[in-house]
Amino acid sequence: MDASAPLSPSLAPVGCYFAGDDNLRVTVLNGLAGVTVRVAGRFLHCEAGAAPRIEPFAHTLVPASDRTASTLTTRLGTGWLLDVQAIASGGTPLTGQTFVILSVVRGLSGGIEDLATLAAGYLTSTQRVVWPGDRIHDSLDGGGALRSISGTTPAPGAEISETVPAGARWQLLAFRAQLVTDANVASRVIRLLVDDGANILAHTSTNVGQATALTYTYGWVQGPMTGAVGQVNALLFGLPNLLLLGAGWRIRTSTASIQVGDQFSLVQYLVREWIEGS
Amino acid sequence: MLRCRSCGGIYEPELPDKTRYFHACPPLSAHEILDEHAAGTSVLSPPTLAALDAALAADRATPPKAGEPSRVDQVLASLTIERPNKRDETVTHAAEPGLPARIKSDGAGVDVRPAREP
Repeated sequence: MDASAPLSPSLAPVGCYFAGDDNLRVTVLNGLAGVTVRVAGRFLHCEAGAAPRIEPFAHTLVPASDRTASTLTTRLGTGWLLDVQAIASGGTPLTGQTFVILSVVRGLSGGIEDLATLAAGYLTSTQRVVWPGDRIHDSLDGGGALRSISGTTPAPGAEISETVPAGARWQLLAFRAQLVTDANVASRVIRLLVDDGANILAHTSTNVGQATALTYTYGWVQGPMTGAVGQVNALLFGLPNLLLLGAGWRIRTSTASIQVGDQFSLVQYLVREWIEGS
Repeated sequence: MLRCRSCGGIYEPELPDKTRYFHACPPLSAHEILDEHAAGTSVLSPPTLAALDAALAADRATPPKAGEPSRVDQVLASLTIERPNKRDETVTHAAEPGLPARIKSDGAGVDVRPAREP
């Protein structure tokens, strides 16, 4: 420890001492395009032979939007970190979309050793992640981000399949799609499935046959597992409450007697999303 | 707007809320499995193939009543057959730190299509 360091706690009682080879690391897991994270704070320099001085610092990081980790490691010097905060200075992420970890590491490149976590949490363009004063949040804390997602329109005769992206956790709140049947005589019955990428975990059958050359809209929402309710050609079904899905899991249809010209479209669903942080 | 050459699905790679959309091809549908079976290109395991053949024969001999699922439907409902050469845009971690993540599988690639009408 530098000779001047013992003087510092009286100046900065909640400071965090940085030896010369300790650095501040910012790790961002982000699911939104156009986000810029700004990290700023104050550092009390206590270099040998120099008078202590407080210097503000600020850095920006444009994270990847695929929920993989983007990092920025910055050298602050020898002395005491007084405070630091992170905020979205670009983009408008919702709580649940941009997760930030502020930590102390040793080394600047190559083999970097993670030493201590200062703060972790979701940020927005108004809500900051701060140290000191904030606690270390889990990325699965809180209500998540509400997202309405337009899915893939499959080719004629193909099923719907929507996959939870890497690094995300979803809670399925509602799902909706339209099926237009072709001229082949058959009674199509849709099942909505959840699988883990290989094994089917849950399914709900509509138990409604859709005949030739008809257009039906199917909806599923969280709630009681009632039979179909609704108007002619617009049907509503139940989904289990608290249906959580991990990365790589799928929401898909499996349609009995689907025909070559049957066309699913208008695939739209509502999820609550968290960063998994894996 | 993109069209997947592996499955023919159409999707927007970036959604209106500025999040990326990660397309992954669906498993084969029932009629696609039956088409492959009829063409002799089925990838079903021998026991599943035997069960499907038995169901096809039973449905021919005793057609299901209106509103009842066929025996073939009952066999196919329990199957998940992944599409050959499927595209999966969900990402995997980069091989080395600092490199961008890669999508899991390119499949047959994509075609760019005109944007969807509002």
